Amino acid sequence: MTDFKQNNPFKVPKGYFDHLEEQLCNPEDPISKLNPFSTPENYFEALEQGLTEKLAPSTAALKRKSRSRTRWSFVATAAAILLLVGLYELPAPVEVEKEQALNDFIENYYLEDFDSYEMLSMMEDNELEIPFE
Amino acid sequence: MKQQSIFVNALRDPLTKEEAFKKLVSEYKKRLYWHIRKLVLDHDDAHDVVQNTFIKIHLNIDTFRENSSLYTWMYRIATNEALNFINSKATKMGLQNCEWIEAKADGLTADSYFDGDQAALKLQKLVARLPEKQRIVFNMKYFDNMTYESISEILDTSIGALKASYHHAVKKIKTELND
Repeated sequence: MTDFKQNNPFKVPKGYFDHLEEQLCNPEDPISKLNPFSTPENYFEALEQGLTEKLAPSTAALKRKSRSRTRWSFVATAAAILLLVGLYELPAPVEVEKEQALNDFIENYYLEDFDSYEMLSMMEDNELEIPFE
Repeated sequence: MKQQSIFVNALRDPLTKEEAFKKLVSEYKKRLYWHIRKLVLDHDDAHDVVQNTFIKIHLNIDTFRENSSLYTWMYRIATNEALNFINSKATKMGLQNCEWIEAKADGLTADSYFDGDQAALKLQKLVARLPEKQRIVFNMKYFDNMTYESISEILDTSIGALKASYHHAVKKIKTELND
């Protein structure tokens, strides 16, 4: 049985494996020789060029879009920082009580329409007693 | 696979997309063209389909999930584009897809980009008469020497079904050639 293993009865044409390697490793011709179809001369070079040109504007637009997006994100970040700084730096709003606010309103109202004599006439006597130093 | 991921990322990045796409076209233009050409037969039709295929690849690279190889994904797009093209052409002419392909095969004798002898012409006509699935499988297996595993991934069909399709296709062609 070992004789059968040692003596391979099958043969291949001379140089077959060299040719096979060439055929398998050559990316220029991945199609077998049975291929009866052909293309116009320099077709693949023109195809590559044509496709690149066809898709170039969209790529350029994407680049522009990307640059514009970067610019806007910078502006947005700067605005956010300014807003945060502004919020911390601004004085806290003064809390005024409701009753105090009403008194202030009434006071302002009267001050607008009355002169100092009228105001004095409306005041109580004890309010007029201003100690002199 | 890692190298593929780097390349796919380059295709997705707007800043490197253009350069990466040029590389992609340069690398795969012939293989995709010949796959499409075998399906549509005519050079001008193949040219239209290969352009659409690359445009689709360019536009849809973000949807490529990297579950398969990039080549398999592109091959699938090319196959679908070719079949859609045949379908649309046949519909416009009021024909079945197989009738349109048979008419194309009959016209090969007058095609200046067909250099085959009588035997090659006969083979192409017989292949054109096969049902669509068998025709695709026969082209990929017989002419492109693709493995059943690769064809299975591209066509999303089980290996068993592909073997059956190829077996039927070969049997039909052999029978016709012997007649």
